[in-house]
Amino acid sequence: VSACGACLRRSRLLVELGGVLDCRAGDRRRLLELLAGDSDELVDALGGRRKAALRAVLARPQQELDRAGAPAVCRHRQGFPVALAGPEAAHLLYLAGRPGCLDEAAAAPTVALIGSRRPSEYGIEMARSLARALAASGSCVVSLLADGIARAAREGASREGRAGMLVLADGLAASGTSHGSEMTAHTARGGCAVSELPPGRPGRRWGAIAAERTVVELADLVIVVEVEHTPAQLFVAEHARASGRVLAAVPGRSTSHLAQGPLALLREGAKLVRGPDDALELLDLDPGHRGRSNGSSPAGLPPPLRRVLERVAGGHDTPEQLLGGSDCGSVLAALSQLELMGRLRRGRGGRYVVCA
Amino acid sequence: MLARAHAFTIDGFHTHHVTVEVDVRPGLPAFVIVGLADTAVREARERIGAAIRNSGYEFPARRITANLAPADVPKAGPGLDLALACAVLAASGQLSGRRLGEVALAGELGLDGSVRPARGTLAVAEAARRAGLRTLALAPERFHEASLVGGLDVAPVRCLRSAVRVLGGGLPDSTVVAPASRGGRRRAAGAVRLDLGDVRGQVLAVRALLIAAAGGHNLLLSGPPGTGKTMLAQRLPSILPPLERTEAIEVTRIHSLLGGEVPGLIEERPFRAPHHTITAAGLLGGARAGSVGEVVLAHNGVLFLDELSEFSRPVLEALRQPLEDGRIAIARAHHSAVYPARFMLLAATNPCPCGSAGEDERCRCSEADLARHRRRLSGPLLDRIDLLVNLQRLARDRSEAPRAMSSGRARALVVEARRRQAARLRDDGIALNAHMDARTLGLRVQLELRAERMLHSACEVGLVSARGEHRTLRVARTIADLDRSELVRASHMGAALALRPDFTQVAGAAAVHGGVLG
Repeated sequence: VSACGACLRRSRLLVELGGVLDCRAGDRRRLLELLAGDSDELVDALGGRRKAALRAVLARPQQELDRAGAPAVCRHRQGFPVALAGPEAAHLLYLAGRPGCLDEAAAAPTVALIGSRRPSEYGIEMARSLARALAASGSCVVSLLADGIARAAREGASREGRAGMLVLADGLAASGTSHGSEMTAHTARGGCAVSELPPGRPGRRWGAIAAERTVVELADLVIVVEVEHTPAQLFVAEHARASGRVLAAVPGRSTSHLAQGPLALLREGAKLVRGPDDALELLDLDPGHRGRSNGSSPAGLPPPLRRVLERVAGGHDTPEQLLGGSDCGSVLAALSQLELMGRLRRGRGGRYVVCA
Repeated sequence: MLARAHAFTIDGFHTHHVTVEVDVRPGLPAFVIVGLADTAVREARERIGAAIRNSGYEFPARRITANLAPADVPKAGPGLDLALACAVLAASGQLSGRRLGEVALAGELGLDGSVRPARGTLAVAEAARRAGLRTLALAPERFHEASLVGGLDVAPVRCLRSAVRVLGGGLPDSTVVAPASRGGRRRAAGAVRLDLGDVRGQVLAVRALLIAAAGGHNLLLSGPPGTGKTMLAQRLPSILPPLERTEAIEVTRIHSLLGGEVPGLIEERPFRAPHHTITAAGLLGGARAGSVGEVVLAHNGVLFLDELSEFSRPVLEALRQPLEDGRIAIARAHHSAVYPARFMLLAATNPCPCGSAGEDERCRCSEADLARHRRRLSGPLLDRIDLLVNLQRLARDRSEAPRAMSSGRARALVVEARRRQAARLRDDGIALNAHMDARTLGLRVQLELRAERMLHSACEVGLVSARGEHRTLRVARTIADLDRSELVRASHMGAALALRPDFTQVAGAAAVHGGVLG
């Protein structure tokens, strides 16, 4: 453990104040302001009638606090990510992963991919391909341990053998739980997992908001893939902008409710990301070594395969729509060949998605 | 005095030869039946006594001992009544026992001496022929069923007196009951045959149905409500070829064992579609001794499970053995039996609880809902599905969509493809590509080099598993058969890969509390 006693005590204090913080989670701005305060300010603001008991927590000896069991690093020790130097940032992070993984992650350009937990196939494919290209070019992809865009980003980065950084809304999970298995798999692939709460602590409403804030603060570039245009969904993007991060958004279909968030951000000045090239350009990275990710161009394909790929890209994404008088067998064979070449992927409901 | 008669008892799908020995000797009047008889057989004492008296014979007021040999085989049902009554009459000197050793007797007796049909006539007739007996005397209602077995004289007897006459060398009764359809049950009266040509659009699903029918592959249709899954499934029987003679005998025998009237050889493949509330006992059988489930009734035919995700998990899991082995072994405390259950599984399901998965913004299900839905379907059962078709709502006006080929044409293609398979697999003891094991696949499936490369790269990139590789090979072989090709080409392999079951699209993970972003 490389954390000072004050930060370890603060971590315990946050656990004790969990219920009260949850009540304040409705106002995200206010919550982050509260978390920016030191331990005494937290007790004064939220302690109520439990102030004495909470001050007793702050008086515990460090040896007792060190028994949490997981490595931790605090803002007062070497090794803590420099990106988390802001006043609203986490004070301490519990770590899982091989030694030095946090340093390695912090040394690389870091990109956060954020978006809806219920994205469309398009959103999933964009997040996956962006993460894959970024990981291939040496960036560290940071994401929440959550479904949707975050999961797609993890999967994309893992395909290039760079699992990136995972931020948990709850304590580092024990193996056997669904989060534990996912976290273990992530660290086994060389990734790093961090959490603000002591190991084994269940997720809290405020913890999820705090984790989202940590994700964007760890990043140099924040890319919003698909979110609805609501204050809650766009809060993290606003926080990224306020923290001085480069904010970018992936445009979607203007009729889709999931595209309204990114489109609003773009109108307000966020950078446009149409694909991996734009993201790499924003990071000023060489797009040269992106492996198989740059596969969307139909040039170089035999004409029958190119025709099918172009039709899928044009929205004819089911075999039924692709047939249109063609021989069923030849269309199916073309789809399989494109899938084997990594140009297409079969998504939900049997719809084909062009791999970016 | 001792007399012997021949009868048969049904044990599951099998028939046992029973020698009915009756000894009548002086003593206090009693009628004892020994030899592992069940309640129905023991109650025969009352029926036999009344039937003998009401037929004008004398029921001996002596000690009567009936032994049903072999003594260690359980005897069930009332089908032994006629044999017991005739043996009693022979042992008491009222009947010449000369022909008793040559005639098999099957039937239940009424109190007035009438002979009623017993279940399993076809199985009894087959067993009688195997046992070397020349004649089978039975109720007239079962005459046509027993006549399906060649090399056996079937003597219909309406009552005990008729049976005595036949055993004395006289003529049997005439068959007054005409078969419902001479030559077999083709279709229920008034039933309209559904035609594949009624289907508009859904070209891929129709193609998959054709492949499944040709190779006997298991097929899952997945799609939102109203896309025609059930409509397609109901038309599958119309493109299946009629049963072969040996298959027809097996199917008819199963229906005969159930006790229903079988007017002739069943020629149409069974199509069973149980409701999703069915229990494991209903699906597999074994609720009571001799009862069979839907999987047995679907033998040599189709088992259609509509709304697959609504079936209980234990019921679906129970399908694993019949799908793998083509038979079902039922073991209970007091009985066990093995029945044939080789069927083609056809299933239909919605892609998610709300039914709109794959139609991006129409689906209201969360990741957790999707994962839960997939968990209900996942596992070894889905591992035995050969083909998966995702149906989508038709984008344009349904009336403008092209019609599928007619059932007659599709059936001709299926028959031709099956003929090719049967010829190729003749030496392997199987008739369909779906039944090929790993060894047979290695011997009988010849791949073009490009097709082989495609399959290898599909394995390498993880599109198919090791089990999936065999499954893809079988399906590709069937597509090649439909294409009249001896070699599995790249186009066949590509189509098989495109129709492969892929259940990994929805990953399950618990949601994080509180936050809104993923």
